[in-house]
Amino acid sequence: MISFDRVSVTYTGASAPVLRDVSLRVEEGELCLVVGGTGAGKSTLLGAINGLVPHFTGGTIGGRVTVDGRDTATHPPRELADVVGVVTQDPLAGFVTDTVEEELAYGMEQLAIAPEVMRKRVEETLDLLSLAELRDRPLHEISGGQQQRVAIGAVLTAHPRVLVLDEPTSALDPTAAEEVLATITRLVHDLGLTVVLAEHRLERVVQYADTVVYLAGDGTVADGPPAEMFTRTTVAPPVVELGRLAGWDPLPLSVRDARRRAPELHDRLNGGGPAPAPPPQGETLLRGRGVLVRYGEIVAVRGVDIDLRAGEVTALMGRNGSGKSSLMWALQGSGRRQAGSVEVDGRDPKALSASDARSLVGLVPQTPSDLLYLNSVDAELAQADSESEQSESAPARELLDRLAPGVRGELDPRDLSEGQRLSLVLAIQLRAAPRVMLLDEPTRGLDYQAKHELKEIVEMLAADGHAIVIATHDVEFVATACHRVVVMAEGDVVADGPTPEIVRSSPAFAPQVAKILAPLPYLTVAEVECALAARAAR
Amino acid sequence: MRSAPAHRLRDSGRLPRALHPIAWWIWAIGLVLAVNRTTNPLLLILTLAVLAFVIANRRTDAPWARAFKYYLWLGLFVIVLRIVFQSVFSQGAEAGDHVLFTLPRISTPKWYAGVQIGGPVTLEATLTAAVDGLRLATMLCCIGAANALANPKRALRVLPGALYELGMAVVVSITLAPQLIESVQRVARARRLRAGRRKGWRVLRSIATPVLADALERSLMLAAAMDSRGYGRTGPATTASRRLTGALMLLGMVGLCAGCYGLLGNGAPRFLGLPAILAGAVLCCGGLALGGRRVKRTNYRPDPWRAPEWVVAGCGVATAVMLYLSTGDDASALNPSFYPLRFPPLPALPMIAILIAGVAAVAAPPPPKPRRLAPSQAGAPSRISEPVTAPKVPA
Amino acid sequence: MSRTSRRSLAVAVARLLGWAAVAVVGTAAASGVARAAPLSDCSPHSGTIVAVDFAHWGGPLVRGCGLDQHSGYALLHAAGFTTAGDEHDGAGFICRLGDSAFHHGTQYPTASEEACINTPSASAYWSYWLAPAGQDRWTYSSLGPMYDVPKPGEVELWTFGGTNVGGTGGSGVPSLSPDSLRARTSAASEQTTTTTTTTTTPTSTTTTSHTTTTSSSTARTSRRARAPRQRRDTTRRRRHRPSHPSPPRTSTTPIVPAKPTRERASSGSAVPLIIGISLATALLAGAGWVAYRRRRYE
Repeated sequence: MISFDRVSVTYTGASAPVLRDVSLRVEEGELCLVVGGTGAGKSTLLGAINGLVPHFTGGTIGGRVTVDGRDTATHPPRELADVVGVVTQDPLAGFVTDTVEEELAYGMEQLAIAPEVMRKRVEETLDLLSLAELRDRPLHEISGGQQQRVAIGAVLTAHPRVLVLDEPTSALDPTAAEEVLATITRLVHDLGLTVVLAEHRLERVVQYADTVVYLAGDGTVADGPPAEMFTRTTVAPPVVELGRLAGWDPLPLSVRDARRRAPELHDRLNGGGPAPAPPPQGETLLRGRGVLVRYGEIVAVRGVDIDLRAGEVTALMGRNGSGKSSLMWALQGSGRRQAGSVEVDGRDPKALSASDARSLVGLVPQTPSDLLYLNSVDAELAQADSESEQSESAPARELLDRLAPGVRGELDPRDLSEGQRLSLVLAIQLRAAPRVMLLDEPTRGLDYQAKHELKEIVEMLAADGHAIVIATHDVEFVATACHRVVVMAEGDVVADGPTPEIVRSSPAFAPQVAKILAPLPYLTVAEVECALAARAAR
Repeated sequence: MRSAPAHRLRDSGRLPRALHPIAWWIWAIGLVLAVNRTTNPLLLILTLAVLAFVIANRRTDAPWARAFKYYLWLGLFVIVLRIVFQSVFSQGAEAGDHVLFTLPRISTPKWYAGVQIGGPVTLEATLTAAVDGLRLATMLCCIGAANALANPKRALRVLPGALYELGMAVVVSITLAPQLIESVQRVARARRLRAGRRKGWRVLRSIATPVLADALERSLMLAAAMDSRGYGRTGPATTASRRLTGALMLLGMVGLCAGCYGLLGNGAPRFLGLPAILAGAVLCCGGLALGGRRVKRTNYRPDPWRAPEWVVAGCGVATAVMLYLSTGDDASALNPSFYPLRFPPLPALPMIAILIAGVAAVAAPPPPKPRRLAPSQAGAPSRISEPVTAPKVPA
Repeated sequence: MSRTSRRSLAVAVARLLGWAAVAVVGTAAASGVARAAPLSDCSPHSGTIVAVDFAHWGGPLVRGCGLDQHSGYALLHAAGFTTAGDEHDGAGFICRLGDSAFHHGTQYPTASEEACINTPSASAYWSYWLAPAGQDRWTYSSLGPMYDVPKPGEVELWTFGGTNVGGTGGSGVPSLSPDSLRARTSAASEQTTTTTTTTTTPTSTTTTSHTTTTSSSTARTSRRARAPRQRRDTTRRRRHRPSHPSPPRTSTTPIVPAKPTRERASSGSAVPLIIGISLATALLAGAGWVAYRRRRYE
């Protein structure tokens, strides 16, 4: 169905090709998972399937890409629209019309399909993706998972043979991500579509893949069955890492497979748990009492009480729309707060000026690039220094080097990777030397390596005596990095306690290692590794 | 664009549905042309009342349908601006005028003697300026009514094939405008987090750069998505046919403009006006037909054109025609002067013409009611686990 | 003409003018209009004479006086004339002029002759001519009556007819000389010197001069000229010569002083206003009720 024949892609102005001599075949009806670190070329590979590379993005392509017999060199993306459908991680950015039904029909209109056929296909797609009751809703009013399903439906109505998805679940909470992935697998099994899928958070997807294409980062590509490929990739979900650690062969890809092999690991661990980490004992830096945030009639945060202690990393979890962001903005003082009190160092951040408030509580928003407006990293750091002259912290450049070493000063901030940009904004906010640091969804779009680096940054800051709060959906990250979890739903705090308890008690929130090794209280592969090493040392 | 035979209903088109947007636009433009002929404040106020009546009865529940009040504010702004200009650049007062107040007179140098600043502000001058502004405001509100009653995106879909890309660009910009506003709000909120001390120019830059970069990225993503879905598939078009299409369109546009000037302006030669409009229209149609041959696309559920559309469009055209024809008889009634101050008359035929436009409120089918979602169906909420009770530390 | 007949004619005209002057003074005193100035108020050194020529409709040349007016427009009103502008340009473009001394103040041209919606064409409009003190020829005014400031001893004249683009030819060009209208020092000399030809430089006379409206666009495209008027204009043109040298006054148009109109026209009936407002209110009430009902069910 899809074949790459010695394909090389070089972008204009780039020194090295992104893809070098890539040859692979994706057969019809397969679910192909594309795996690789950030910047390894996943988006380029996916773009080459549908002709966006090079017709839309520019650059030079060598070799041949053939999809269903059509050569992408002679067929621009619009000529391939009836064969290949593309879904990206931001569905709202690709919507053209107002309502769900019109969006589903838009692709067919461009292909000049007859109106009766259009009508029939729209109804079928609404049923297939369970969108029937949403057909008249405006697109910006439906939830993220529903939007992603509409985006899939919109390309599905053209009856393509291939579906290309570039990180479709990165912006979704776990349940919505499950919905979307279930939809995709059903399409593969029922309709026989060929699906090519790129994902960072592999733990959900690995079990469904028929082929894995691994991009090593140097332009080469290796493909093969998942169990075989994952023995040698650098990026791997926790279940695969556990399998590698335990030496299981073939590697288990799903929790179910791993649980079947788990008893032998239980024996090796002697049924014991990990060494419990001492809870942080720092002073209380922030006290929030009865914080109430409402937007008109909608109550986003209903009278929440929260305490943040120095040296403690707190995870704030909950569905999209449960009030996490509103709570963080209210604690920082820049967001609305209709009632309640927040006290940091004896003062209320809301009552202070913006520059005083940010020296008490720092916040990195969901889109960190909202704060960046200058042309180079050096200019941003200099601006940060001039903004916070009174604070006693190290200069911004030093902070950035501690967080993300090796960021060149002359680069434009928008050319940095996600993780580097996050570190830059974090350095700018830390320049004001706040004791409390809030991060709103920093893990979105980060691969495993970047998340590992973020974990180390967070640990370093906590060791320095900061109180950190991270709002995230990523349970694996929470299991590795956070001491405490606060779960919010509909503006209320429904759970607040140490990570092991909260995270293990819920099937939706448990990390894979916990699910595999239950009832043993392990959360991460690192804990298992430590325990095995300790047992071996004895 | 005929509706598919399987879906043709036997009704007269009176079931709740959205009227064809072109019908509303013809109605609104008819009213604009009619209002252009008169400065009688009573007729203008009556027109505004008719607009409010039709909108209240027939607008849908979409967000753009609630935007009419912004046009009213714009109209008010126009009137106030007109009055202010009239007061500042006054034209002197007659003996019998009612002077409201006197602004200090600023004498202008001899070479600028055409402009006089200050002086007495009279009631007559203010009323004349207010009525002049009211006419412009009413015309703006007619356009606003068309925007509130007809979905602008569906109106753009009925553009002929040759103008499809142009219409698509407008549709996309209409779609992206709220996103841009939301982007500006987000960035403005995030600025507080950096608390820059610079004011003025730097503030603009710190908001504009992220917003524009965001907008650029989004527009690139949108373009890639549209390209991937097949937008822009054109058949073969030779250079000669493209040039011919362009020439026809340009000439046709020039003819239309000249014809509009001749009809609406006063003092243009006779051959401009209706003949030029007809010639321009023919040329434009030719150009569009030629250009449309290369664009192939279909319309999903096109709006039908049935009896209510004819009635609504006919109302607008009838109003315009009646007001044009009645100019000869009572010119002073259509354009009453406030020098000397007197009550404005209400000529019968123009009043009836404007009330006819209000028939559209009844002739158009009622707007479709939005479907109410059961709360359980809105999204698929996931259940969080039950709250943790007491910590169980394993031994 | 023989000498005796000339002298008797002069005496007759002088007497006529004397009565006219008395009438003007009397009217001005009796009218009580605050800003009207009698003709005797104007002298070669103070006040400005403004004259309107109604000869197009068989009327006299009406002349009045204004003291210390800040615009030609105010001068017209101070002298007792009534004006009407047109829809397009506002009150600043004089479309109609009237005075009680001619046809009880009917404004000319009437509505049937000129609708006064758009700027009248250059073939039939009120043109504005100025002759400052010491100048014995007419200058086509480059400013409109709202912007032109009358100077002491100046004469302003309004004539009706057509002019060419430069303001040098056409039926609207005045045929009489400014000095025939200028203010004189004494009332007696007023009676006598007005009858003499206009070649003598006048000393002081109050003259009603025509304030011609300077069309704000001298190069306006002309509309369809009305045939009868044009014919009348051509007949007059035979009698008039271009205005630059001061021609002898040959027209027999009498010169009368302006009579200010006292009462304003009635303010019209309020019934249409009431009907209109009530219709609009009914529609708005209907709209409000529908909107309220809708909001309740939303």
